Amino acid sequence: MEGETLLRYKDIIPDFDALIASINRPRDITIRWNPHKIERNQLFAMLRETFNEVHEIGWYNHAFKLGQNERPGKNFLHALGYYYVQEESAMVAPIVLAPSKNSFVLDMCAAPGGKTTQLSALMENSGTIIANDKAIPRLKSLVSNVSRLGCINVVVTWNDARNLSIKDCFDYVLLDAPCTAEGNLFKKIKLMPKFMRDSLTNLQKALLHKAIEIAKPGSTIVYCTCTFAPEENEGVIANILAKNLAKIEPVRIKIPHEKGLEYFGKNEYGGELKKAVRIYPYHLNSGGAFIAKLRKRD
Amino acid sequence: MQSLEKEIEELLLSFGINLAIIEKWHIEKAGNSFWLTSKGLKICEGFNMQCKGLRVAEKTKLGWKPTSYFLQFFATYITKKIVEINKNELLSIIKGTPVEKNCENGYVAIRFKGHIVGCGLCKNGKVYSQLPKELAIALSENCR
Repeated sequence: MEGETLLRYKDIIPDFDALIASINRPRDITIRWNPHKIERNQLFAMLRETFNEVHEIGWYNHAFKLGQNERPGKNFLHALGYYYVQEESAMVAPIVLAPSKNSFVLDMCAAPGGKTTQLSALMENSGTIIANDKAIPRLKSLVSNVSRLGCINVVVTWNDARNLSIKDCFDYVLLDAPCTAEGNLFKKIKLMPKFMRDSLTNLQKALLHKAIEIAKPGSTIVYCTCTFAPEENEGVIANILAKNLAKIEPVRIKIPHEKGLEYFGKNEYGGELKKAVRIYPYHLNSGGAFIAKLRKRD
Repeated sequence: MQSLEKEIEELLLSFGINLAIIEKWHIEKAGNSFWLTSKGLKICEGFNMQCKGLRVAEKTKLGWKPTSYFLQFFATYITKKIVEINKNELLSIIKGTPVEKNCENGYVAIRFKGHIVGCGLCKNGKVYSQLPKELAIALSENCR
């Protein structure tokens, strides 16, 4: 087979066989309750009437797991904005950011709005979330989801975040960076070409640099991707840490995960990167994710 | 209580929405629409804004038309101007064929299976859909 495959990660993924098995298996279907429109218990009752299998998720009481044959995006309750269909692994980053009520939050690459609407729920529809995306075609889905879920604390904007000229503005910044999305591979092991990964890595570094610049001193920045490539994850964080713009803090989550990598091949990232987390598809039968929590230096 | 413009007050009251409920949020007029936002919503200079908060209503030839998402958001507070419809009626109005209902002329909240699904227009004893296209499609595919 030409090009790189998942085998490039054989030495860094602790249970590589489980990873290969997981990409050939259907992922769990999970949804997230929207508290802006309905009480949790009401939704739970409706879900049990509508779907054959509904399970609560222990680590996060906003989330429910459905049977693998269900199609919750094609349901009347979905159209009413009572829930958002979202992978379990994608629900972690907003919880790590943990914005307080009435705070000023930037979701830098927000479309289609899964994490934005989750942040809105965590903030109980208070304060302000700037939900930004560069890609105008993707704004339609972002606006649609924000409206459907009744997120009144969201301002939708369209900027190339790299070109923003503001500084020291936000209490919290979430950067769900564009990435090679290797964590969402299904029934294939071939990766994107290296030149695409290199191009994305440069973009990710520029976006994270800007995220730190526009965050207030002492504020929290969460960087996440849905890919395995260390160059797009630990490599990006190490680049920022080397510039002494922010410090890394431990990500504390109550779900199975691995620590961030200290090195990959010839690339040394340093022991601090162990404070980041890697979630592999076999951990939750969900997508892959990398999450790092940074604090801007005063 | 914040001073709402009279026209939006009238719209809210016409649906039986208690104005005290609005106190924890903010309503403002921008162009031909009213928008509901969180209190103290901020915007930084330098951002190209697409929209903020939830559109409450827009001005039409017939007066202020509430948006479907606004009616959904306030579903639990709406006590007036509700029109109940069944599945066949919902599918009918979505397809563009009005259904006969005993209702006063003007915009109404359409209720289906106990849920406010969005906005309709009553005219001469018939209800027409005012649901946005994306919502109408989602409902027509999934109301069965």
